[in-house]
Order: sequence, then C-alpha cells, then structure tokens
Amino acid sequence: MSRSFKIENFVSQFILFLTALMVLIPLFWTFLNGFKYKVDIISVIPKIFFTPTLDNFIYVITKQAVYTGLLNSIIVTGISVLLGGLLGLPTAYALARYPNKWTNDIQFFVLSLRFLPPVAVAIPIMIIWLKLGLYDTRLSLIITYLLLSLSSTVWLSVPAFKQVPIEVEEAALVDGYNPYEIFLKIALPVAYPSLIGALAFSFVLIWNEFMIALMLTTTDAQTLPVVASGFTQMGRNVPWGILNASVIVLSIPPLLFLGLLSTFLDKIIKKSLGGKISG
Amino acid sequence: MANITFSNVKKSFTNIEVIKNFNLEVNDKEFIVLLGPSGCGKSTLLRMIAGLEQISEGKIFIDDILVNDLLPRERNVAMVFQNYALYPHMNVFDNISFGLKRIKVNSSEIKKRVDEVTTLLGIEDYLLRNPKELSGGQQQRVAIARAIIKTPKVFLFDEPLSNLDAKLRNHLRTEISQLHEKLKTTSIYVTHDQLEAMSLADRIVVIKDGYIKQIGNPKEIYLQPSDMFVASFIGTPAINFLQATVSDSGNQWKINSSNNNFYIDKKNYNLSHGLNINLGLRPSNINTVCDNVDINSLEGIVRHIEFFGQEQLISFEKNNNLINALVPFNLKISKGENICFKIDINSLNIFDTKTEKNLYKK
Repeated sequence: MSRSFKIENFVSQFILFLTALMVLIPLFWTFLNGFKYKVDIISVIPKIFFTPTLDNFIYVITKQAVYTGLLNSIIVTGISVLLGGLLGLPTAYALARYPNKWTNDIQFFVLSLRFLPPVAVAIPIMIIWLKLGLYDTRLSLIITYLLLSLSSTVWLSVPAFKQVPIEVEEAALVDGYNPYEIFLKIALPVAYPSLIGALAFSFVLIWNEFMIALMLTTTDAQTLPVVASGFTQMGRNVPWGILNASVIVLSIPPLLFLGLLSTFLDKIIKKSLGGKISG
Repeated sequence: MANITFSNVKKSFTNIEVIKNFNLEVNDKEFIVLLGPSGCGKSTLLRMIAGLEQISEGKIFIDDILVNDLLPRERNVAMVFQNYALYPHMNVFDNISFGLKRIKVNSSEIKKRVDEVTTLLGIEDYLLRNPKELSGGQQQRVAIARAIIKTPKVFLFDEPLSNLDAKLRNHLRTEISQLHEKLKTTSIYVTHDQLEAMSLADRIVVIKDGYIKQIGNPKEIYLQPSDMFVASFIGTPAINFLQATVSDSGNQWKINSSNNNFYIDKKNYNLSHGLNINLGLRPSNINTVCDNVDINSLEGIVRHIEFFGQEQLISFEKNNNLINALVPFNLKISKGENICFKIDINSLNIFDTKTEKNLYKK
C-alpha cells in the first residue's frame, strides 16, 4: 500500500517537475539570448557559455517608444481593470445573491462578449472610434477594454461570491446591516482572495492584449505589446537579441504590478478589518 | 421582552406550501421549542420571524407590532445559526460588537458590554482570535454572545447545537437553559432533537409537514401525545405500538391484543365497541416483571438485550413484533427466555388505528 503510494507520489511530482521545466526553460533561454550577440543566437549548436553583451537591453531601454508604450499600458490597463472591478464586482454580487429569471441569460451574455474573435470586432470598433474622432486615444482603448475586463471579472466573481456562506450574510442582516453594507463589509472581504484572482486575470488579459490594441492605435496610444511587435519590423534581418531583451524587459512591469497590487490590497483589507479592537 | 403572535401564517415556495395556516401565541419570557423532523417547515417559521423569509400569507406580530413588512433590523430580534455563521474575517471582539457598531454605540460602551457577555459565556480569553482558531463549542458561544449583546426582544435559535458532539451539546444545552433563566428573553428554538426540546422548552410545538401537531409543555407532550406521530417522535427508546381491538365489558373497556387482555376505565377514553386501536406503550413503563400471564400483562421471548448502564433495554418478541422494555440493570435475563411484564394501565396511550389520534378524554 505505502509503496504504491510512494510511487504515485513520485510520478506526480515528476510530472509537475516536467511541466515546470516546460514553462521555465523557454523563459530562461529568452533571458540568456537577451545577453547574446546575434552570432551566438543563430549558431547551429545552442550556446550556454558565450561572451555576454548589454547592447540589446540598452537598445530597448533607450527607445522612447518603450516608455510611451509602458505609460499607455499602465494607464489603459489600470483604468479598465479598475472600472471593470467597480462595475463588475457589484454586478457579480447581484447575480450571485439576487437571482431572477434573467440571471442565467445575463451571465451567458457576459460570457458571450468573449466568444467573438477580436479580429471580427476590431474593425467595426475601429470605424466607430474613427467616426467619433477618438481613434488612437487612450480613452477609446479604455472603453473597448472595459468590455473585456467586465466580462472576465463578472464571470469569475460570481462563483467567488457564491462561496461566501449565505448564513454569514444573513447574520449581518439580522445584525442590522443593509444589503449594500453587507456587500461592502461582508461579501467583499470574505470573497476577496478569489476576487483578487479575478482582477489579476483580467489585468493580465488586457496587459497582453495585442490584436485590438494594434487596430485601434497608431502612435499616441500604442501599448507595450504593440511597441514590442514593432521591433520585428526593422528590415529583413530579424533582431533576435533585441526581441529577446524586449520580452524580458516588457514582462517585468506586469510582474511588479501584480505583486504590488496583491500586497497592497492585502494590507488594505487587513487594516480596515483586522485587529482594531479599540474601535 | 415581547410576546409573539402568529395569525394564519402561510408560506409557499413557488408552488409548494411549506407552512399551512400556522397559529400560535408565544407569551412574554417564554421559551418555545419548534420540534419536528427535517423539512417540516420549522426553520422557515424561524426565518419568517427574523425577516429572512417573506411571509406568503397571514400576519406575525412581535410585541403587538405587525412585522410582516419590517426589515430584519427593525424587528429587534437576534438569531443563532446552526453553523454559527460567524464573520470569518473578523476576530471574536469584532464579531460580537458588529451589530452594536451599526447602531453607533460608543466604543467604551461596546467594550463594557462585550466584556459582560464574554465573561457570561466564558470566552473572554479569545477576543483577539479569529473564528477559525476556535472549536465548534467556542464558536457557538461567540454566536450566542453576538446575539445577546444587542439585548433583543426575541432570541431565535436555529438548531444551534446540532453541529456539536454529544457531550458538548449537553453542556451547551444547560448553558442556554441557564442563560434563559437569567435573561428571561422570549426565545424560539428550532430543533429536531426531542431531548433538547424536552429539556429546554416551556412549551413545545410539534410540527409535521407544515402543520402543528401538538402544543404543550414537555410533560403533556410526553405523557399524552396527541397522535401516533408525536408519540413516536418523542421519547427514547421509541414508544411501542400494539394492535388491538376494543370490546364493551360493563363499566370497563376490554382491550384485546392476541392473547392479552387489558381492562381500562370507561370514563378516561373515547372508545367504542369493535374499534381497532393501537396501544402506545413506552419502554420505560414496561419494567415490572410478573410471574404468570394474567390480565393487564404482556409476555414474549427475549431476543436482544442492550446494556445502558443503570438500565438495560430488552427487546422481546410478541406475535412477530419486537417490543422494547427498559428494565433495571440487575434484572437477570438472557436471550431466548420467556418474560412477562405487568402493565400499568394508566400509562397506556390509546390511538385510533384509522385516524391515529389519541382517544384520551380531556
């Protein structure tokens, strides 16, 4: 019994290890290639030992477009995720706690916003923004992305709110709180770990969104993925080193951002609810 | 302090009627237990008093104020839930004081009252702990503290002890009883545990399928159950039923069950000649052994013996029925032996086989 259990354990650990490798090796290779001269990258036998260079990183970091893109990405993603949360979390709570005959249809509609391939909607949306004179602005991108963040936030938050024990909310009702206070003081803090997941998911989704950003921007409102794709369009010679370096550089902000976001929210929740015994 | 009145209260969920015309007067300071099997509608009744469930028809008054359309917070009730329902993200202090903060009680007053109730319930050392760090019994004490701190007009208990182990359940039951002695707040307590109901209640309301089966103090319910359902629901070990027929015998009724005859006084029961009845016999009333089969006695072959400590439960076979008798532990008896019991006819309950109603004359 215990021996077969050990083997099972080993096998599952091994599979986990393999999966982790599959994710990490390309990242590691990208990281290495960022420091290589082109000859070392395109050599037939992959090189682990090579003469490193910082040229690629310096090229990426000194490009003005990268900074404009970074700023645009932060503003566009930040605001659309924030608005998506502000509108989506109450929506999800209402869907979870006050079901009516439309609830399922609403939930399906919200999800269906994500069924259409971005390519199909990008052109009509582009024309709408062109006609409104908002093409290539952050505002138009934020509003377009709001559709994405809203749908993923709502879809992922409904189960999170459903997991909050209903009795706990009823206890608060008997304790004298109204439904809005219960949403803010009970449902949100209790469901918060899962809600952070939902928000982080829509953050990553929008941060990495490429298709719509490419169609809706030309210069002013370009986001990082669009800027990064620009590096490949420098003549016939694909600048592999620069590409690799840009991938590394561009993936740092969302990592930092998500880390900060979760610790920040963690602190807020703990501060506003935990341990204030003196009242 | 308040009285509660239910007047023709009905409750339906979509097309299913779960409460059917419920009428009840709960007196001030009374401890009422709603007792019934699961799904009988007793929790729904409690939730209607709390304002967590709409009242489909009829009226509920608390302190002579119609509460049908009042919000939970306007009813001045406090509720203790089966699974404690503590706020998981708050420590014990915040859990208990959450309701007071809502009505803007100042913090020194809050502190004073939290100290009072937590000392009363013996949880004063856990104020800074989170609910997760407490045992089930401690959590339910916190939930009770949260309820009593608001000094409500009415306490509502929704099976508060059913998630606890047996020993703790007995302990907390006593505590709740003592608490009611002290606070005298009108309480409505929902349970499916008849022992809890018997030990806590001033009056028990036995409910089945949304109907009231019987209202009475624990003694009445135990000694004179209104029908066979109540009789079998109350009391452990469960009551025995024996099929029998009635015949006229002068100034007495003769009740015949196979070869056993019982003679009872006519003035106590509403019987008629030839009526088919079920005799209800509590195991605890079958304990006097007799030497030979006579009138007002019952005999059979012992099939099982369960040892309970001070008592032993004997199951003896009679016409392919097993009848339970609770006898003293020192009665020497073994499986397969014949046994005969003298029956105290005053302890008999007689039920109409057809209507299942108790035929006792009131």
